Amino acid sequence: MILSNEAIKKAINEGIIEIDPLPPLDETMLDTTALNLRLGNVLSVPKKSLSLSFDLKKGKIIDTLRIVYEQKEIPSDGYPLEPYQFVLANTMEHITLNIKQGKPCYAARVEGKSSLARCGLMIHFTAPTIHAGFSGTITLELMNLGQYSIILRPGMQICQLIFEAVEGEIILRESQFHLQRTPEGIK
Amino acid sequence: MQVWLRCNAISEGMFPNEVAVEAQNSDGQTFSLFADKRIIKKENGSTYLKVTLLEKTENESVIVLPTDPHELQSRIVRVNNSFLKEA
Repeated sequence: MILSNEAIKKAINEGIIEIDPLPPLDETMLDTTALNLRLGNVLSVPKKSLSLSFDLKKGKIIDTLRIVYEQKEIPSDGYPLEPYQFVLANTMEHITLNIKQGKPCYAARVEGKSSLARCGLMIHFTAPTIHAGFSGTITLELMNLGQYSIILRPGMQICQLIFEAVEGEIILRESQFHLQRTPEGIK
Repeated sequence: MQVWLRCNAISEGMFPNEVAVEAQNSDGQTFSLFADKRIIKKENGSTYLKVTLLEKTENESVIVLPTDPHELQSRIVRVNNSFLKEA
């Protein structure tokens, strides 16, 4: 079940959902069933003309990612995301979806905004889920699929977060997983 | 319940607000993830990552990592209790 704006406020007030900095919880940021999030001030931009490939089985992917991307602060007059250009960004807000025993628990999905989608902006590829227990800023995979550049500015509303209630306790019962050593459950 | 997981190493992340974290599961496998600096603390020469504790037994615990690790299939990880510290 998707949380309404009032249910989102309640979960924030109860500390189950933490958002920092907390945006104004009014109609500018809180839709009927979603919270708008803002763009942070740094982009992670892939370097051009490197001769390498991502291979998750070889070496540390983190090291490769660091080689491939360079951080660029978004200028105050904006960063033009050119047609078919791909960059990583993150939200200004740090989100925590707390798992507290005996309390409601929430997961979320990050989605684009229709106004930006009409310009051709995609804000994630196939990885919209923010699982219960997540804590951090949300990484956005931005790609301009349109024909014209899109100006990105720090603090602009870039995406929306839809919260969903998790049913059932998130507990690993001893009988279920305890001391399992393989995905098949062989001890 | 939140607890602190002792990390093997931290290094620069892909954004100014994050770091790359390396830690170890109870099988000795090293895993890495990007984590926000706000859920990292340094104490007595060690670095810790804030995680959610799901289950604790005599020697091992099951925790939920705050973001996806690159080398493992799940954010739910088994670690030795000696790597954990109460928040």
